[in-house]
Amino acid sequence: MKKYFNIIILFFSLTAMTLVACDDDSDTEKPIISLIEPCDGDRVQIGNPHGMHIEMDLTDNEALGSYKIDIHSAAGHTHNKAAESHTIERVFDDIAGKRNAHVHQHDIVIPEDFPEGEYHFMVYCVDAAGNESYVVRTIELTLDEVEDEDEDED
Amino acid sequence: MRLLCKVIALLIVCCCQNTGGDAQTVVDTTTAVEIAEVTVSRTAMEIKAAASPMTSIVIGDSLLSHHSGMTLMHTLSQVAGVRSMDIGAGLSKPMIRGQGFARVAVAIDGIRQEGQQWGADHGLEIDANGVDEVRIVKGPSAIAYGPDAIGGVIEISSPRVLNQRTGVEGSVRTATLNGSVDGALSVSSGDRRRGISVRLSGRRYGDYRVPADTVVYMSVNLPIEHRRMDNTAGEEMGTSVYATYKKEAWTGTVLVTDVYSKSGFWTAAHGIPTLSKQTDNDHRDIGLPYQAVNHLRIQTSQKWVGESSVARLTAAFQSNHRREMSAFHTHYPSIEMPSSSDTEIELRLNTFDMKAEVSTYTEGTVMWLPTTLKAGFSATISHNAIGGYSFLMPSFRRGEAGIFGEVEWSQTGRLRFVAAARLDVGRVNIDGHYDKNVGAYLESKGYDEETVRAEAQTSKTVGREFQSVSFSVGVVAEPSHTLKLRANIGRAFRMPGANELAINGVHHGAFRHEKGDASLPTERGLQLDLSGEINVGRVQMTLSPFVGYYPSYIYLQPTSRWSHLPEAGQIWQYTASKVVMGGAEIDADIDLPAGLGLHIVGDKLINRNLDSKSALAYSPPEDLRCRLSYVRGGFHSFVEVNAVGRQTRVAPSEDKTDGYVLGGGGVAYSGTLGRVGYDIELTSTNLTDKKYYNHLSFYRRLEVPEAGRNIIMTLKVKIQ
Repeated sequence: MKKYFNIIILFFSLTAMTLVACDDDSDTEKPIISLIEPCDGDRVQIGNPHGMHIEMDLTDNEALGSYKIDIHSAAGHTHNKAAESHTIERVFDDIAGKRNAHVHQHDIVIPEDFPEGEYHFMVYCVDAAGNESYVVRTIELTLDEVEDEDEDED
Repeated sequence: MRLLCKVIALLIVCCCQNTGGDAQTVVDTTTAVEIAEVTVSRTAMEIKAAASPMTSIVIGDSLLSHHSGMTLMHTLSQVAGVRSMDIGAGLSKPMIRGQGFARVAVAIDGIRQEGQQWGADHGLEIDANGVDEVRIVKGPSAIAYGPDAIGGVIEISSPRVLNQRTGVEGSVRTATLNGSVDGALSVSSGDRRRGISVRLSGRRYGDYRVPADTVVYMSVNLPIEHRRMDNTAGEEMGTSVYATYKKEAWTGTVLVTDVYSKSGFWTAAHGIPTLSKQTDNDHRDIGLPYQAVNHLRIQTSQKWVGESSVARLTAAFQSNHRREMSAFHTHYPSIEMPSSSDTEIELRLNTFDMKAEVSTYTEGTVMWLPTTLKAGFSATISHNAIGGYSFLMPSFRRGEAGIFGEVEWSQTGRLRFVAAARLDVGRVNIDGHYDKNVGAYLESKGYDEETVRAEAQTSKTVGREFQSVSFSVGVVAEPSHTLKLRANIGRAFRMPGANELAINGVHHGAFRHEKGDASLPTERGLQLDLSGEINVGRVQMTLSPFVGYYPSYIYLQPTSRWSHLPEAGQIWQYTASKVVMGGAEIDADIDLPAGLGLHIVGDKLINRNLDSKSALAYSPPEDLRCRLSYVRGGFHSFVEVNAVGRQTRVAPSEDKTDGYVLGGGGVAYSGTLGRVGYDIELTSTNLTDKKYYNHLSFYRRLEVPEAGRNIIMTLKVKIQ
C-alpha cells in the first residue's frame, strides 16, 4: 500500500514540477502600438499622391513580426447595402526581428474612386511568437485639399 | 521527500465527504421533516456519487435555492473546480477544471444536451427552474456519457413525481442588477403508480449594470451610458411536462421540455466599436443584434427492475434552433441584400440519442466474483442545417455509437473496485461551402487564384471516421466510518467538432479569423484523480487532487500569419498539442456551536501546453470562497467572501487578469401557514459594487467589467 502511495506521490510531484519548473519560458507579451499619426478624427485627402502620413512606434519584449494596416468604411457596419469594396489591407514586414521600430511611411495612397466619408483606420501588429495587438482610429476621407501635418516630409 | 509524502498523505487523509444531503444539512433551512428526509434517505444521485470512484458532488435544494445566482451555472460555480463562463448577466456556460465548451457534457436524466456548445458567445439552453438535483462529475466521464465529456459532466435530474402529494408550487424573483423578473409555476401530482408534473416559467430582464462609466476597447474610449450595458436585455420561457407510469417491474417516463431564450448583444461590441453606435435609453428592449435560441427535448425512458437485474432503455430527440440576428452588413460588395430578414446566422441542430443498459447483481460471497456487471450500448445521430446571409458553421451530419461494459467488485462496502471499458466509433460528414462573394472580393484585391480559392472556401468538405477505446479503473475505500478514499484513472477521448475540422472565416462574435484543420487527430488524454474525504463529527472535508496528460489536445493557436479577409487580424489555427494539467480542490464544512457553520471551498489549477510552452487560454485562476452561515429555526443567514487570484498564466494573445475579492450575503426565512409553505429570501452578490474582470467571460476581451452589485429577492410558495 505504501509503495503505491509513493508512486502516486511521485507522479503528482513530477507533474507539479513540469507545470511549475518551466514557467515563463514562452512569450505571451503583446507588442505595443503607439500610434502617432493619424489621430482620431483626422482628415485624409483622397488620391493624394504623396500617400497617407502614418507614424507610430512599435515595441515588443522579444521580437516584432509584422504589422497590417486596414482601412474600411465605417458606414459598412450600418444597415445599408454593402458599400463598394473600398477597403485597403496592406501587410508590412520590415519590422521583423526588431524589438523597437519607429514607423514613418507614406506608402498608402487612397485610390481616387474612394467615396468621401468616415473610415476606420486600423493597425494590427503581431510579434514573432504570435501575440497580437491592435488599435483603431476613425478618420475622414475627403476630396478637399488637406494640409499635410508631416513637416519633415521626405 | 519522505516529509513531503507525509504532508500530502496527511492532507489526503484529512479529507472528507461532501456529497449531498449530509453536507447540506448544515446550511439547510427547510423544515425539520425535510431535514430528516434528506439525512435518512439518500437520493439516487447521492448513492451514485458515494459509490463512484470519480470525484463527484451532489447539489441539492439547499444550494440551488438559497445561494442561487443569476443563471444555473452561476449557482453551480460555487462548487470547487466549477466555473461559469459568462456572456453578460443572462447567459453562461459551465467549465469544470479549466475545461469548457464541448468538453463538458450537461445531461438531463442521462441524455446529453446537444446545442452549439462550441461558440464562445452561446449560452446553455436549460431551464434553471426545472432543476431538482445536480451531480457534478469532475474528470473524464466517457463510460457513462460517451466520448466528448472529457472535462466532466453536469447531470441534472427531473423532479420525482411518484409518491408525491398533489401540490402547486410558485415562485417569483427579482434582481436589481438588470431589473430581471422571473416567475415559475408548477403543478404536480402522483401516487404509487402514476405521477405528473407540469411546469411553466418565464423571465424578462433588462440591460445589466456595470460599475464603470467607460470602457477602453481597441484604444477607443466607449462610454457606458447610465452604467448599463446597452442592449444586453433578454427574455426566457420554459415549458415542461414530466410523467411517470409504473406497473409492476416496469417504469416508464416521458419528458418534454421547451426552452426559448432571446438575448441582446452589447451593440458596441458587435464589430469594431464605434461611438456612432447610438445607445438608446430604453433598458428593456432587445434590439439588433441579438440571439434567439429554442431548445426542444422529447425524451422517454423505460426501466425494468428484476430480482437481481435492472434494464433501462432511453431515447431522446432534441432540436436546437439558433438564430443570430443582426442588421444586414457585409464587406463583400457582390452580396445581395436579403429582402426580408436580418438573420445573420441560423443553425438548426437535430439530435437523436438512444441508450440501452443492463446491469446484474450477484450476491456472491466468493470474493473473486464480481458483484455487479453492467453492459450497454448507445448511439447518437445529429444533423446541423444552416441558413442566414452570413456563413460561420458548416452543415454536417454526425453519427456515433459505442458499447461499454463495467465490472464492480465490492467487499462488504468497505472496498469497492470498478473497472470499465468502452469502444466508440464515429463518423462526421461536413459539407463544403464556397463563398463566391469572398472570392469576388479577394479577386478585386488582386490576390492570386490559389489564395482566392483557398480563402473563399469557407468550409472544407470533410468526411472523417474516428474510433477509440476509453477505459477507467477506480477504487473506493472506506477504512473507517470517518474516512473515505478514492482513486481513479481514466482514458478520455473526444472527436473533433465540425468547427475544429472545417471552419475558415471570421467568427463575428470573436472578431477573429479561425481556421479548422481536417487532419486533426482525436483528442486523447489520461487523467488520474484522487480524493479523500473525512467526516469527524463537526468537520467534513474533501481534498481532491488530479493530474492529466493529453498527448493531443485541440485548441485555437494564434499565428503570425495575416488573414486576407477584411477586418481580421492574425489567423487563429486549430491545432493539437501536448498538454499537461494538474490541480486540486478543497471543500470543507465546519459545524460551529450556536447554529453557526463555516463552509470553505477552494481550487487551484495549472495547465501547460508543452508545445507552445505556455498556459492554455481561459485557464481559471485560483479561487477561495468562505461562507459563514447562521441557522435558527426557519431563519437562515450567511455572509460570504470570495477571493480570486490574478491570472498571469495566459496563452499568446490573451490578456492577463487581475485578482479580486467580492463580498456577499443573504437572509432567508422559511415558514408554514396551514397547508402553505413559503420561503422569503434576500441575497446579494458583489455587495461593494467592485469593478473587476472575469478571466473566463466572453466580454473580458472587450475590457468590459463584470456585473455590479446585485440584490435578488425571492418568494416561493408551496401548497399541498
